[in-house]
Amino acid sequence: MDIQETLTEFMENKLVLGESQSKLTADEPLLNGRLDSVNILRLVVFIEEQFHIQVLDEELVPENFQTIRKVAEYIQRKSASGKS
Amino acid sequence: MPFLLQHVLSESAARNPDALAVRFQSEALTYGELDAKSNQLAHALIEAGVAPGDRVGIHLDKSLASILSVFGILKAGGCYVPVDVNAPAPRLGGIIRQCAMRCLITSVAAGAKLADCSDQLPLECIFFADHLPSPPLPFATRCCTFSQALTGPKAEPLARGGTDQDLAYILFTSGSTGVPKGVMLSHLNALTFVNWGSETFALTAQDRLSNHAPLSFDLSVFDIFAGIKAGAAISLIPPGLALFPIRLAELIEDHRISVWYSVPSVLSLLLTHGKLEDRNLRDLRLILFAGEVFPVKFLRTLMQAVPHARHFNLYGPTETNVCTYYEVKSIPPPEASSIPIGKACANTEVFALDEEGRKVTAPGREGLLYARGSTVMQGYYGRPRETEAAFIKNPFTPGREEKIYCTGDWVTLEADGNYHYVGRKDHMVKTRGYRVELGEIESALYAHPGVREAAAVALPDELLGNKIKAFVVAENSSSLDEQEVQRHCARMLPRYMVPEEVEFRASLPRTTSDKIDRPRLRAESMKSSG
Repeated sequence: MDIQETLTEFMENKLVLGESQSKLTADEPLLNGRLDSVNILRLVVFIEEQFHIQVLDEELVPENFQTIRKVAEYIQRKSASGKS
Repeated sequence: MPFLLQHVLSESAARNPDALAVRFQSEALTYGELDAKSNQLAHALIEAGVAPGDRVGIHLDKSLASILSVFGILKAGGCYVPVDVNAPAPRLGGIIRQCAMRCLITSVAAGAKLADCSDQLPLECIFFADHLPSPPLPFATRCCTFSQALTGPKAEPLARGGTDQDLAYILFTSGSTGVPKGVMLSHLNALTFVNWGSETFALTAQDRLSNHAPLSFDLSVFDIFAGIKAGAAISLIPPGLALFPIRLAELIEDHRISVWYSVPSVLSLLLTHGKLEDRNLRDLRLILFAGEVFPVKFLRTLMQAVPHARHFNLYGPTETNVCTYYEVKSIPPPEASSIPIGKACANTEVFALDEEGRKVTAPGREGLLYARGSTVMQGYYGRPRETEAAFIKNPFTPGREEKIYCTGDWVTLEADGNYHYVGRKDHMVKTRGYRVELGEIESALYAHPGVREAAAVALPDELLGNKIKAFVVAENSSSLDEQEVQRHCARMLPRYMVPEEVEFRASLPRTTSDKIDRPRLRAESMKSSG
């Protein structure tokens, strides 16, 4: 499973997301009602444990969490910088 | 002397029309603009048929348009009914029908779910704050846009009268029978609280207030009306930004917020992830919190992080606005379990009655808290039975019938006259500052054809206040899983009511009187989660 799929599965199964007609896709906006403040912290904990990275407070910003694709890109960047 | 809520706007606008009234992202309205535009909107609402006393819905994202709507509706003689923009369609439709709402203000995105509200809606007119939907909604209702309403020449003040006994707004809260209850607040109810707040906290035109809570949450009443009365500037906090503590902390600094009011969990998040130490918060002079119990651990950190601000705990169910308050003057000791809810606000009396109905006068004694005075609500809209049940006859006014409101909260009295919150007498719990009747969740669970039996319990959670867990006995033939139960609930209930956890059981434990043994389910869950 790639990062996007792992994230999608976690969000669909473990987070109580806002009601929406559409299925959760890579580019579906997360910040207009789908994620709330508690869910976003749960997501952060999941990312840290699953991908062995530390989400710094200054990285907890809308740019990194707008869509599942953005979250995945952020995780990729973080993992790459950790290994180099 | 202002006796209607909208008067506070006209007065502040006359005093200083060019002062900044409301800002949201890159947009702003001055007092003069807010006053003139809300006059125009009020004229348009009246032309669309809004009559004095009409309930007019606001189903909008936080925006300048939502504040404009509040004042437009009030000036038209109506009563505003905010419905959370994330509310699922059945809830929105239910509230529209319950209030016999003929007019609704919404946006294309938020209003799209009207098409999913089954059954006939009583709506005769819909105002869109952005533009008309395309394709149009699948029912014949007159539609109108703000740009049409606000381009008309009519900006003159409204001639519509009214008294302070008229309803100003209705806020819907969780109802134990599965149907949300509409708390009716009159202009007098609201102004009594607003006047107390602006005086107690000495608000001035130099203040800059934050507005974190949505309109459907009564914390917004203070931000908007006490702020406008003072001629202060109000910064509406975009809901998306509220998820990101760093950005929220930046906004407090950038907008030089001087008065902050929110539920404690937002403050806890700011403290743990907002890097407050990097911010210059010297303008922040007042931090108010309400809606749930503030864990002392976080309150201590907050008072260390912002030592120059004054910190107040405000208490009161929606039915009483705020009825008691307590200033936390010094950092509570680490061993303190909680802080008091304090003493009554101006023009309000609170007292506790013990199980025998005697007034609690001795320190340390426990009783149910009652409130009387001008802040106490008019009742629940269209629900005489629930209204009747919420009040008792004041036993201390012989020869004169007076109703006093029972908060349903157990409190103890302290030696210094402050009250201390102990717990609830019923199945109401708080989560993320919202009140939730567990019975409403259970009704939603039972509405699923695959559910034979269900119970909802609240488990303590440091961040949420409480987290909700559902126990479900599934019908034999059903292939119900946790996700399906949560999705089903999310289609019927606001998100904060959706159970965080679902456990399936073959049967539910019973008490000797054959009721579902909720305390036992709760105890078992707390043990298993350590």
